[in-house]
This record gives sequence, structure tokens and C-alpha cells, in this order.
Amino acid sequence: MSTDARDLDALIQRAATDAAFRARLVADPVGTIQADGYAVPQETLDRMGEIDPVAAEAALAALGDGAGDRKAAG
Amino acid sequence: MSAPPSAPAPPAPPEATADRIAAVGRARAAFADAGLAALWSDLDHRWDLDSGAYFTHPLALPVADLPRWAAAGGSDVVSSAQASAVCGYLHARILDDLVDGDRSVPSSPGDVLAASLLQTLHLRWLAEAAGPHAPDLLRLATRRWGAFTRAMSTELRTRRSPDPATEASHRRSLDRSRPLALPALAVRRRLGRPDAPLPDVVELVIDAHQRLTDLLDLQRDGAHGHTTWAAAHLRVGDGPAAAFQSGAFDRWLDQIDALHARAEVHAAALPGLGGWLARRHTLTAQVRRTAWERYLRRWLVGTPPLPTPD
Repeated sequence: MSTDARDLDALIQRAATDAAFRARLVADPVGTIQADGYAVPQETLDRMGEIDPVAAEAALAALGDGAGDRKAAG
Repeated sequence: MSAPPSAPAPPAPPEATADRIAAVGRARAAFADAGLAALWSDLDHRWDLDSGAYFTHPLALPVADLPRWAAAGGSDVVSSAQASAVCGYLHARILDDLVDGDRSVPSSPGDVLAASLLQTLHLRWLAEAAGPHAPDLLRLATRRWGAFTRAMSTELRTRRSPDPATEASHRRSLDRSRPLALPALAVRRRLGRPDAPLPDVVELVIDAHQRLTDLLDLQRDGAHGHTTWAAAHLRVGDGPAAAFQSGAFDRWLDQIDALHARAEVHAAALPGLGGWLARRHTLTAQVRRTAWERYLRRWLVGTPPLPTPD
């Protein structure tokens, strides 16, 4: 795994668990990445300029998956 | 089965699992005594009741736990109250599935028959747990189950309404879960303890539970054209991305955490509640983290395949 890929992975993990960092990232993606010293691929920086509705749809649709077998939950 | 959360929630205490299984066993035996073992087998096949899995699932409401918490130290009346709670809950679940009409196993006339016996057993064991307070509890049960029936009737009329669900409709829908408090209230009164804080705790727990399950069921509800308050909250604005970008997704989970925190205040009065809330907090944290990871990975990396249901 390249440094860029490792940093991107660390960035995602931090954003998923650190609400304050996540808020900064959503408000100013490129500025936050640069300010916090993450080295991420240029392709990622390019992608961050646009909101991806497919990503959001997929994440919302998969919400129930993480909770195990729903058959047995009322 | 789909992939579990990345870090499983801590398990329930062994004694909690044992008495849930015992409560289910009393219901099973009552069905057998009535010559209706086959009806019970149908329910067990559908929900895995006999193993205790149904009521120990991380997403299960604390059905059999509430009477134990209410006793705060154990009592002979707890087992009757737990059996009452199990039967009342299964009765409600059957009717809920009938009204929903969207589960993979179609409802059958046998379900209605099973629901009828479950309701009778619920009331029998409720009265047994309440002892001399049975008349009061049965009057309260009449009101709670009346409100339950009104809520189900409303659900039947409005579930596929084009109007967005609101906080008011969400609150009305909680009448479907409010009978859950009855067996635990029977325990409190039988033991000469005040109702408080039990009603407040049940209200907070069922409110948080409904918000969480509506969030997890967004896709299923959407596919069936069902309107929920969670869907209205998360799908406003510029489509699904707004749920994450605007903070609506985090706010929804923050509200669930806040309800649990308000219940936690009463943990000392209801032993066992604190552990249940801690497990629920772990679960909501997993839901939040997993959703954000999936969203960010898909948005920033683009290509990794998302886990898909089996």
C-alpha cells in the first residue's frame, strides 16, 4: 500500500469516528486534508469537489446490513 | 446473514438470557397444553424463539428484561411478568406483520389464532404477576391495548400515504410499543414500589428503538412505499447525499443517543438498565461509524464494492 493509500485510509477511519474532524472535512474537504497533513491521491482531491449522491444512496441502503440478521429483531 | 458490525456489541449477561428462555418456555408449554404445539412451532420456525435468539438479538427491545429491572433484586412475580411480556410482545409482533404485509413469509390464518392465544396468556400472567393489583393492571391494559389498536388502525390507513411522516405521527406510532410496560408495572405495584421511573424509561427506550429501526429499515420501507419520520428527516433537500453533508444523519443518531442518555439517569433505580443502554450505545456507534466509512470510501475512493446482503 502506498503512502497516499495509507493516508487516505487513515483519513476515512478518522472521519468515521471523529465528529469534529468530519464536520471540517465535509465543510472544506481539500482545506482540511491539507491543513492536517494528509497525503492523498490527486484523484481523491479531484473527487472531493463534487458530492456523490450514489455514495450516499449506497451507504444509506446498506445501513441495515451492519446490524446482523433482522429476522429475529422486533 | 449479512455482515455483522465490525466490533460486536458486548453480550447480554447470562442470567438475562436464561430467564428470557424460561419465559419463552412457559409460553411454549401453554400452547402445548392447549393442543396447539404446531402453532407454536410455526412461530418458532419463523423467529427462532425456543433458542432465546429472538429476545437476545442486539436489536431486540428489552421485553423480558423490563420486569427483572422493575423488581430490582429479584422476586417470584418476575417470571410471570416475563412470560406475560413475551406473550404480549409476540401478539403485537404478529399483528404488526399482518398490518405491514411486506414480510417474506406471508401471514396466515394460523397467525391470527396464535395471536389470540398469546393475548390471553399475556393477560393471564399479567394478572398473576399483579396479584391484588390485577384489577388496576387490567384496566390499564385495556387502555394501552386500545391505544395500540388505534395506532395499528391508523398505520393501516396512512402507511403508504404520500404525505411525509412527522414527529407527531412518530409519537402516535409509539402506542404500538407502550403495552410493553404493563408486566413491569405489575411487578412494581406487587412489590409496593412506585411506578416511577419505569414509565419514563420505557417511553425513552421505545422512542429511541423506533428511531433506530426506522433508520436501519430505510431501504426496506422505501421499497414498500412506507413513509417514516426517519425517511422524511434524512431525504430532505438535495437527495441522499444531503443526509451526510448537511449533518442530518448525525443529528438523527445524536437524538437516539440523547434519549438513551436521559434513560441512563435512572439506571441506579432499575438494575440491568445501564448494561442494556451501554450495549445499545455501542450499537448506535457502530451504525454511525459503518455508514460514514461506506459513504466516505465510496465518495473518496470510488470503486470498492460495498458489502451486499446475502
